[in-house]
Amino acid sequence: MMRERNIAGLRCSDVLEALPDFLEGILPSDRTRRVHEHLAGCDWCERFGGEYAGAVGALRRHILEQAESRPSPADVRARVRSAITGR
Amino acid sequence: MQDEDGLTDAESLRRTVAGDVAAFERLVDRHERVLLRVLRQLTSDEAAAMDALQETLLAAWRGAASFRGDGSARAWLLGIARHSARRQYRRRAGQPGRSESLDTLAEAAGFGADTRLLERLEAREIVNAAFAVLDDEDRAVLLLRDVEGWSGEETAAALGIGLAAMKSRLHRARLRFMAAARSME
Repeated sequence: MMRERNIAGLRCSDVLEALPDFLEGILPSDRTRRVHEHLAGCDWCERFGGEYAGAVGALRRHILEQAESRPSPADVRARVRSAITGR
Repeated sequence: MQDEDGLTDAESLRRTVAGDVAAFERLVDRHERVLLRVLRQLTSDEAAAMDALQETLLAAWRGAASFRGDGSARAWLLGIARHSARRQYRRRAGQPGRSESLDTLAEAAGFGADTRLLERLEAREIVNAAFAVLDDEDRAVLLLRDVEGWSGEETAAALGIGLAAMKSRLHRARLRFMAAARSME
């Protein structure tokens, strides 16, 4: 079991469950306020939330950078064109 | 989505059903990059990604009539691409179970631990290696939602699941990605 604190009426596991919607800004306002209060008093959740958001950002940055440096598939397009036109 | 002449995806697909090759190619022009980005991540190597792309495009040409005009064409294309990728890709052995609790996943991802995960994620090789050990379901949801920035609804449609199931899968996939990155030397 995860170590837990109960702050602002939320346990750490409640904050963990709410984290994606909280970061996306779509959590209901009362819930958002309580998550903020929990984070202000819980260094575990505050640090983990930052790492979670940062991990999503790092994934996006690295995968997109990598994709931009790859060539486009001209050969595939030519083969598909040939297959569907019969030429 | 539409191109500069105002040709929408739905109209492109209607013309494709009638055998209009040019309309189909314009549809492919609009979505080829995202298809390829996803296929490159879901398959084992470049050759497999190219094979899967070719299979996807041919299946889209032949199956254009099955597109329901009220949905997203790129989600429909991605659904076909995922099937193509699955044929090129065998799920890796030894994946974590799908039924782990959120608590267990969070602990593996570093909850309560004094780690410096973000410093590690500066290194592209760590990100790539951590992403590579995920199974194709986790990689697909991360790619569409977090890398490509698709909406929750469109991502769920492309994966053929409901919005709540997609959100749950996304949260777990992110935690598995973090756990994998922590474990990389």
